[in-house]
Amino acid sequence: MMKKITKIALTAGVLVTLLYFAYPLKSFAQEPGNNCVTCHADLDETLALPADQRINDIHFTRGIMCVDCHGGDSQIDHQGDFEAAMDPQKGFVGAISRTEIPQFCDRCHGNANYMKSFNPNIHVDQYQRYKTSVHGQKLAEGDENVAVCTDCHAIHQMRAVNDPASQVYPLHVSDTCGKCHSDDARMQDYGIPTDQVELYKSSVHYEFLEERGDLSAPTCNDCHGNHGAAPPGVDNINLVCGVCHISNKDLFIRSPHFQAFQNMDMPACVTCHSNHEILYTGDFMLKPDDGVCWMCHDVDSEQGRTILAITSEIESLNQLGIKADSLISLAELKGMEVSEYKFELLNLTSKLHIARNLVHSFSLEAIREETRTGRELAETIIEGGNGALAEIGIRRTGLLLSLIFIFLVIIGLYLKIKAIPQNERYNES
Amino acid sequence: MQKIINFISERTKFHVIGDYMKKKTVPQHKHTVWYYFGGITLFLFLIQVGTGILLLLYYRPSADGAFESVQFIVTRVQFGWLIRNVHSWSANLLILTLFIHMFSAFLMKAYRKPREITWVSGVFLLFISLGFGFSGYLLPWNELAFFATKVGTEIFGVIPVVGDWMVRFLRGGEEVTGATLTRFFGFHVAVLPGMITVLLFVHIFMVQIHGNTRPISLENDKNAMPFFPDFLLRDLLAWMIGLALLAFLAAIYPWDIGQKADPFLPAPAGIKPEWYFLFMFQTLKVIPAKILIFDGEVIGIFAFGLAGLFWILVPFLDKNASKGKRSPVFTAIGIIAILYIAIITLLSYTYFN
Repeated sequence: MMKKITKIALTAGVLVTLLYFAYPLKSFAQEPGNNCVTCHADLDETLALPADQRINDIHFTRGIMCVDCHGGDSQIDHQGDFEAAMDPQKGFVGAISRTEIPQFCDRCHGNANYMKSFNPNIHVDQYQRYKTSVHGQKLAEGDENVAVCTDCHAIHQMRAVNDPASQVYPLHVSDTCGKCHSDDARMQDYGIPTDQVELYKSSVHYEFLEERGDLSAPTCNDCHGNHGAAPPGVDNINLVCGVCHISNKDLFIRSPHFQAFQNMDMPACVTCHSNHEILYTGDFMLKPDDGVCWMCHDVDSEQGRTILAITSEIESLNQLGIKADSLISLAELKGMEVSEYKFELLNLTSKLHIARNLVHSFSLEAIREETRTGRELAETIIEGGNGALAEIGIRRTGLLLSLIFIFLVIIGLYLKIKAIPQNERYNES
Repeated sequence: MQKIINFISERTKFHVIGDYMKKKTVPQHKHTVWYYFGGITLFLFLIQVGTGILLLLYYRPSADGAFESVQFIVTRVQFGWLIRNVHSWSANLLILTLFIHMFSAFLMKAYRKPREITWVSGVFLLFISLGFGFSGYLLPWNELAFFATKVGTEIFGVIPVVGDWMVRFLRGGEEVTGATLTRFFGFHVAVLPGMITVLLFVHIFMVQIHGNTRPISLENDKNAMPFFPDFLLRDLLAWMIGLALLAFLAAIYPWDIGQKADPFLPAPAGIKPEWYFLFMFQTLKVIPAKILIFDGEVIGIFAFGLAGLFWILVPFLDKNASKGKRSPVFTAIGIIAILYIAIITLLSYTYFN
């Protein structure tokens, strides 16, 4: 019996040993045909990162492997000669230097024929644009402190731009730019402030983007560009803002302020609205106490009087709008059908928006025309609201009179019932 | 005047009705007050007919025009707001008084022999009235009405075999569209009025033949009051109170016309039917999705169908009552039904909201 057991144990042991050598245990990160990963996964933290991060990398998901960028031979397994795997003779280039990264990425990303196999619509001029940017120009001068492709797009876990986890997804762009531009130590040699991101995050643009989820709201790259990033010049800030704020831009260009601002080297929109800390606008911007006009104009000047007149026009229409809205709301609360007036209130709100927008034309006549039609509309709505409230009074008076009449009938019936002799009872017929 | 009356009486013999009415009596006891609810329901129905005819002069039964025509009636037509609000409030009060009338008749065992036909016709009058409510609710073509109809008609789809056909029949297609509106309008102003006229005639005729019943416990009490003028005057008094209430509600709590229906919008959260359908709707919602191997909703619909059938056949099932004996089991059933409906309806607005 013991002999039999020993025989079985010995046979099992031999089999296991053979299996062990015939099929070496691979690491958890085994990947057929890509032993780079297999090897790097077993290394320390820094060198293991590429292996760990590749899963989410867009290159990896599109079938672009380590050797496609770094060269070498990925077929040699990790128990083999890893120096042979990283042989320069086999094209191994290792980590790409910062100054070479943009050109390196451009090998593929600038090749239209190659890129269209992945996405027919993808741009292939990123490197050309980058060379025109401040980052690109400084890199060409030898400054390695500036941003290169991998600073914004990550290295081994690059994601598509429309991937919410991407560093360049709209919600994350300001933080990505802020990694450098909010770093005082990094920016001290360039003489530019480092509060842009902080200011931007208090802006209305950021609120729309982050809190309201409006991805069309601008972030850094929308004004400064992506690869050709540069601060917009004084001459063309209105063109930058005007990409979205078309009407304001058109009005401003036709206004006397456009040439005046250019002559004084003042940036168009930024002078009144700031650049990064763009806040909600309002009628307060025209008012004498803290309005923007008074940075340049005196209250007693001709322009100052025009500004006051504009302010008065808009304020009066606004007040009428508030009055109309409260009347209609009250009438609706009391049960009146006022949907027609509610619709007109939308028109009135639109007129107020147009009047405020016309401020960029700085034309009192144009604003007066708009506020005049707005006032007429407001008065119609107010008349309707008052009519609805008066109608409530009429209805309640009518109700009271009819109730009085009905109650008189009830009393009459009651007295008539009482008048009928109650003691006479009939047996059922 | 007397000559005219004599002229007509000689040719129509309507004096026979008058002679009968003079001899008709109504039992007088502690539960007499419940007798008035039939009359109040009839009064509210007549108001519905009157206001409905007036609304018909301006209403347009199409998806393009329905909402706007109601808006027009309420804002532009003189007293249109009053007619529309009276019509809406009267519909709800009618269903309420109808339930009260029905349950009071049930608890007094008024369905017992020889009043079986009165009861059966009354139950069908209830079904038709609910049909009026369901079809009329869609006619303003607002958001709530649209989605309530969508949800309500969908329930029929769970009935095995005929469910899908019933849904298509009710909607006039696969979905609730303008075709549904036109169809519901046809039901509301032609089909259902025709049916209710016949049944109402039968119901009232049977009441005239057999008179009002006494509760079984008071069968030996012979106290009665003449229908004319005693009961009639009291009935009129109740009608006047109903009219005052209706006027108050129409003037002080007008019905909102809502937002125009948009089939492309999602249903508003918490959409629910009118209060008189709520107990059925909520019951179907709380039934588990699966009961053994059966679909929960199908079981629910089946149960309500059985309940409806039971309700129709009550006069033939309650043997004790038909023999003039007390029937505590059916009394308990009636009380349980009232409590169930009241509690579930209340919970639908509170706990389940």
